[in-house]
Amino acid sequence: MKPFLLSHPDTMYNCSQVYCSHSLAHTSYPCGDPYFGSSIVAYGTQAITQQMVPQMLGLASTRIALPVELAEDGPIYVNAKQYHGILRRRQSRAKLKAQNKLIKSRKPYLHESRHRHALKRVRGTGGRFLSAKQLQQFNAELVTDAHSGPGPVNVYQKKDASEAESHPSRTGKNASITFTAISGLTSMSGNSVSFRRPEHNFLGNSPNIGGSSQCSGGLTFGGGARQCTSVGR
Amino acid sequence: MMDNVGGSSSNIAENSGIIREQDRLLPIANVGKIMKQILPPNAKISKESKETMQECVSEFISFVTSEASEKCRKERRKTVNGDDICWALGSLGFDDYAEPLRRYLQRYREQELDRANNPPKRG
Repeated sequence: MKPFLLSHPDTMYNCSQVYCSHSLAHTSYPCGDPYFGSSIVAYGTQAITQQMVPQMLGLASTRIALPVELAEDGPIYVNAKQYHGILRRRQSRAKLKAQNKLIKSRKPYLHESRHRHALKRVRGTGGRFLSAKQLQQFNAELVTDAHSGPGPVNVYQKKDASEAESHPSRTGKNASITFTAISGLTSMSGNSVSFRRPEHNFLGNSPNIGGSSQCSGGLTFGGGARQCTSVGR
Repeated sequence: MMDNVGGSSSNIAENSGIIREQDRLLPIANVGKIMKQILPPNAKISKESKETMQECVSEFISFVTSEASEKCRKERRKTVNGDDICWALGSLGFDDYAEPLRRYLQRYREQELDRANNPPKRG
């Protein structure tokens, strides 16, 4: 169960206890509830609130201004139907923030074991993981590598490759690559074979620019430096 | 499901009551797949775009669910069902979404009824 998604009765009681007055005339709207007139200021909600403003063009003509202290560049007008909902969500987020329950920054991965498994996997040109078939082909080419200069390793496009990242990655620099593990909702495919081979550093840095990378087995990663983009609210 | 939360993150403690990322947000891969459905096949989506959309859709779910839960609280009911979600969408002004969702809910219930009447036979 996710109690975070359901509003607790405590939130309702906090509404009457905390009094935050604002100079706004409440429109007498049938959906409105004067019980939620007060509000707790939640920081960082401008980005989400301002996105609702363009949606309201052409819809209901009634607009109610949100509390001014939250918007530095003037009042934000929202759909009157959503006014109390927005204030209620602000209180929920402020409550969670007061309890220090929100995550400060995103973790590069969710599961340690999956992260370690991904580090052990062999990568082909462009940074993509090699499948079992490609790994056999790769080993065969290693054995018969008597020519001057190795042949190009063909990394086939996976049928279910749906994650397109815009940052190409360099092989041999796994320590600096950020992984993001997917939760159990993602189906684990092709995970029965575990590759426990050491990294082949001699793959070097092939000049493959623009290639997108895809990790099978429920792992996705972004190339380059470690990125932890946290959207402030 | 036994979750192996990364132990290397020192700021995340098991019993500190912090809501984990996977409990607060939708999985980022699923968000990326949904975003990709509307784009041409060779389009690329940045990690930042997926994370921003992840935050937006998760907040929208909480927004609508909070409205539906408030209705259930007033009516002294404990279970939020599909009708409450459809009502909440209409109450918040998303009428264009409420009507298709009602049709979806109706078909979903019909399918559930068929499944109950015709249980699949085990080989």
